[in-house]
Amino acid sequence: MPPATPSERCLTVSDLAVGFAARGGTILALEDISFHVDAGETLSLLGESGSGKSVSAQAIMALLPDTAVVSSGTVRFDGKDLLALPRRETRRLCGTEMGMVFQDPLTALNPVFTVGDQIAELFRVRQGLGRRAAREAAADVIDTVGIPDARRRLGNYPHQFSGGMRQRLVIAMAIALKPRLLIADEPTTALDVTVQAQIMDLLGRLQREHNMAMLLITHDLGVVADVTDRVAVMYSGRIVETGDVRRVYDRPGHPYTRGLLASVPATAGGGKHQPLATIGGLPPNPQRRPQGCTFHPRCPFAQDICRTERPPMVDLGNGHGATCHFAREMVADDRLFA
Amino acid sequence: MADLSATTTLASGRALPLGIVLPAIVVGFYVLAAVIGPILLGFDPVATSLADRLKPPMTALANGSLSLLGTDAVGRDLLAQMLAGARISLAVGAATLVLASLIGVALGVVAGYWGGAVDTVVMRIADIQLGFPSILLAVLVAAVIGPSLTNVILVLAVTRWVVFARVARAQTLTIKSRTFVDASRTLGATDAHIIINCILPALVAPILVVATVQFGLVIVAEASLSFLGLGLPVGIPTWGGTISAGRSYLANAWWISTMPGIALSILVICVGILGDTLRDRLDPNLVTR
Repeated sequence: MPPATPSERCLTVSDLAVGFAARGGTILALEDISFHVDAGETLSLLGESGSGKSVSAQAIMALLPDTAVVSSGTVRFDGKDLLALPRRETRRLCGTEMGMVFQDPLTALNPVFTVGDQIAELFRVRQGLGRRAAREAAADVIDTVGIPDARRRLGNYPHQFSGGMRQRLVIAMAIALKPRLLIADEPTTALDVTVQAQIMDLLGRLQREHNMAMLLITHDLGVVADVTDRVAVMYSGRIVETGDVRRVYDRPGHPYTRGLLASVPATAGGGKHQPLATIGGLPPNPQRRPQGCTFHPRCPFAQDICRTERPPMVDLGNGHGATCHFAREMVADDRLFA
Repeated sequence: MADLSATTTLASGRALPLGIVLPAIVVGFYVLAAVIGPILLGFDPVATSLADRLKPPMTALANGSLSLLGTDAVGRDLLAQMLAGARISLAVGAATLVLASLIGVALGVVAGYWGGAVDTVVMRIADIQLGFPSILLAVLVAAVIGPSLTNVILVLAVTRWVVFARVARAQTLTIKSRTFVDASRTLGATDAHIIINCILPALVAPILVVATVQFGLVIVAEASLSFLGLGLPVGIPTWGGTISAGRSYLANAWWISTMPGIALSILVICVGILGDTLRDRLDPNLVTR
């Protein structure tokens, strides 16, 4: 799904590595992370808990805790390296150029101010609007995210809204200043299934209207399939596969991606009950990642080379790549996808 | 609280529970008494009347007036003395708490928010001071800078800031890791903005509770200083001073210590209840959960 206009590179992350100081040295949370997001495009970072998805987002938004160390890499946004910018400069870009939606809407709003005050303040501080104009702008923006009776609800406190409505408010604040990049960190994880679809629809609509670049962080394969253009699958702090979502889902080049896709319960096709496929074992302890391919202890196809040599990113054509020694064989093997 | 919720309503339209209204009225009465009491019933610390020494409450004095609460060892009317003392004690209590909480909150927030070396230095100083009896510290400082109203407030504030600093720091640490602080950051908020809009509002409730607890302690501490001759100069009447002065007459004139003691207890209890109920009310989460 290429965008109509020539694609404009919005965010480029190259060779990012982030570690956390701990007893007995640094623990690498991210290694060799490279991806890019274009205007009007959605990239999903897909992975299980602890795979480093959220740390990536924190690195981009300068939210890393004090114990984190960025040991290498660049995050280029709009020609500027965010990691090299003074924090003050990064903060200036926040809100106006990039916004973020958080996982838990129940704690992402300041409980002591009305939502009208919180959103209006954004316009007052960042755009210099007057009190009345800012309140109008706030009413408009929460109307945009589909909160009924917007003007009256400006005077309500966050706890007077339901979870789904609060996530709409968080989204409203994130897009209020029309950023060009929106990072959504598990935006639907804390919500009911019925509300999840509404929130994803909303994000998709806003993205199209504002031609935003969206970085969606999730562990939900279904959400990825619905709204994403490209996907980057993360495992144990590294990107193991990246590419167009259709290609990756149809012909995964990495055994981990295959395992993930196989573990989705089949609800279509007659409802034949089969035991849920799982990936055996657990992700490695980041302090003691296995030699060679980090996935080899859990990989059903592991060979000797996997235990000794770390696989490079194998180019599978059209931007599809996987870090597996046998990526080409994986994709080519029709029997596996019969 | 259901049986206590006989309610009155303020202009805001929200019903106020009895737990706020009643102590607020009592505290208001004290403030009023402290402000206008001495005007109605003048107190002269050097006007002694030996004929009226140690008269019990409800006695007619030599000049024909009625002494409601009795007289002290040199014949001064106890009620007039307490009204004059209320002014000083309330002022010392309030000024000390304002000063101590300003210092404590400022240092606690800085230590908690930025951490690192500042945090270590501030909190170790606080620990050292906590390990040292506060009244001893107050005596030491008071002995050096001498007795006066301002000095008493300064001395007491120095002994109290630690409590505020520790509460402020702990609360700052909790709040700064909350998602809405990160959310504010991703919307471009500066450190100053986060402290003013996210941290300080969250400090109001716990600091208020600490202040109400400390209020009684401060008034008592001022009394102790006065008792040791390091508090306010002798001519200035305070509750603590009056209570101390009555100690030697407890056997034959109980009212000298008891009357200001009762007044002090009622005030401290009411301030405590007020602080507790206000905290519950100021926390929007507690209201609904």
